[in-house]
Amino acid sequence: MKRTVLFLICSALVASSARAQFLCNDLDTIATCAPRLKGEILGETKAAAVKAQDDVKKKTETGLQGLTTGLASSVKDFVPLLQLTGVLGAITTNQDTGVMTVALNTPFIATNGVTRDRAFQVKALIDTKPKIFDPIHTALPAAGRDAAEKDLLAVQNRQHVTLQLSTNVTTTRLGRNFEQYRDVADAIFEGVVKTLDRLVGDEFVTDTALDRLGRDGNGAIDVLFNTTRMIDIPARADLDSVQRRARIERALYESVKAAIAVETAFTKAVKGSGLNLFGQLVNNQPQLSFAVSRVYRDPLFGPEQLTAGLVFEVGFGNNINAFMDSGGQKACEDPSTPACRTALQKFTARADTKAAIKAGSRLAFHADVISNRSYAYDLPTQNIHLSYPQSWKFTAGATFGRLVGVDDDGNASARLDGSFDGEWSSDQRLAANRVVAAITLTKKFGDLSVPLGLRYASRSEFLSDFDHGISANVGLKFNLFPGLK
Amino acid sequence: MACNDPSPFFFENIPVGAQYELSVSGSSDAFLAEADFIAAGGAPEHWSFGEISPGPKKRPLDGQHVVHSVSIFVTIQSATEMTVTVKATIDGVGSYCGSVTGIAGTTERIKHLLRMA
Repeated sequence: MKRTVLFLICSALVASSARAQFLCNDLDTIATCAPRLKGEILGETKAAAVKAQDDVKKKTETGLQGLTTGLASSVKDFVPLLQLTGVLGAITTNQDTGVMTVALNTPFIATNGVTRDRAFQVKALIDTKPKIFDPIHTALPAAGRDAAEKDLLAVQNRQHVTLQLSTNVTTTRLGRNFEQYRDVADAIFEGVVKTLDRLVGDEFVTDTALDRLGRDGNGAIDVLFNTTRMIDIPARADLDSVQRRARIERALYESVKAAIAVETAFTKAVKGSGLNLFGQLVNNQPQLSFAVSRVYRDPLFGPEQLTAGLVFEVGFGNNINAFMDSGGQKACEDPSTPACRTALQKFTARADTKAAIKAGSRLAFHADVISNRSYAYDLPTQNIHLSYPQSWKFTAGATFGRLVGVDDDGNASARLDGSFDGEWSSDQRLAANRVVAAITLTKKFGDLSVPLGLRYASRSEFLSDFDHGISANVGLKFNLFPGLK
Repeated sequence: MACNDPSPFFFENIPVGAQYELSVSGSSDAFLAEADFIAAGGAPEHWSFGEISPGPKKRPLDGQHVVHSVSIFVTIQSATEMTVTVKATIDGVGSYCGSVTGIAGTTERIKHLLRMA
């Protein structure tokens, strides 16, 4: 009797001990246990990595390890001037301005044929809440002006439509669409992925071992990785169910470890090659954009207009051109060669390149001309008779912007923007010739941005006693939705 | 429809002669993707971006009682957040839909194990 009790106790202890060795829960399948094991292994690895990083920081107090995550903030506002998305954009209406927009986007002519991206846009803007032409507004008697304007706007079917054509110029050295540079990026990426061949092969060995443990003596699957629970793993001729489960879990552990090795090496290889910065280099490429628009509108809203404009924007030392000029052109004649990968690696590792990417400097030049058609408007009931000959206004200028105080995580503490514009008009009754300059420092305090600005104008835009003036302004911008940066 | 299947993802009891189809697409063009197919007892195959995006890359599956593996490597290059969607199907066996969301520098490897009947 005593012997039997002792045997039962020992058996229970052995079984309990075996169960304690299990890595997965009884109700787990391979599919549900794998991510948990991965999390547990990565948790251990992460703790070790954090400690190692802390040690390195203590030694160096520097480093740009966090640059990648921060780059987005450096270029977040470096938005392409033309937002070309979708062949036919959705019809959108701005609730504040009442402008309804619909756009058609198509590829356009490039130096080597047709652009890979939709670089040409036709856009229609319909103003559903147009404002009365300012000279009419001014000419209306102050007493009863609001009522008179309401009556004038009450007339239906007064059109105010703008038709706009715009395009980005695409050449080997101009344009920010990723597709332009895909051949080089793809070839480098393929080279990076090939460096993982050995690890992927090692991983496959572990996957094969796991798969075999899930098959019966005849090779048929009797442990389904998606549905068979650990507790239901059947015995096999060579293993009882507990032993087989333990072997399967061990094999799963090896497979997960091998997968982590592949994934860690992949991330490291991408960073090491500089490919993690390639998109940023593309995003800082020089861009030349043209836009032409024609405004069709009822005389109540002003003269019909024809406008044309161009914008050239460029980054400094932080774009694909800089990479090509620093040896990338020659090295990447055949982008699939290791030389191309090495050239990108060297370029992105350079201190001046890192500094240029962090600063996110940009310079933009623009020129716009507006031609107003001859205009006449009569409102006898209010004794208003307006008439203007055809006129034009030309504007040209430059803007410069850069980030200031970018930390190792890529977060900028401030942004500096400066602009200089000249405006010339053929009809001084409508607008005065003048020069305008502005500088703005936007300081960030968490989710709060405080812009501090100085603005100089040689004349007021419209006629007044004003001759020269400097104005200063301070503003507050608060991000109400911190998650949506 | 949700597109968040886990990795590794298992296709099981695949009959010999079935076809695996892989497609990768993005909410913008700024991403890179490649895939490695390892057949049991065969040489690894590299599938280029052009083959899998937009895809589908089709691969007949052979071999009884063996396992094949597919690794899909994705790197996002966009300065603004974007999503890359990876879809795979084997007729009569199952389908996979997973996604990678992030900004420039985000990398992810997705693994499919194809268990032949």
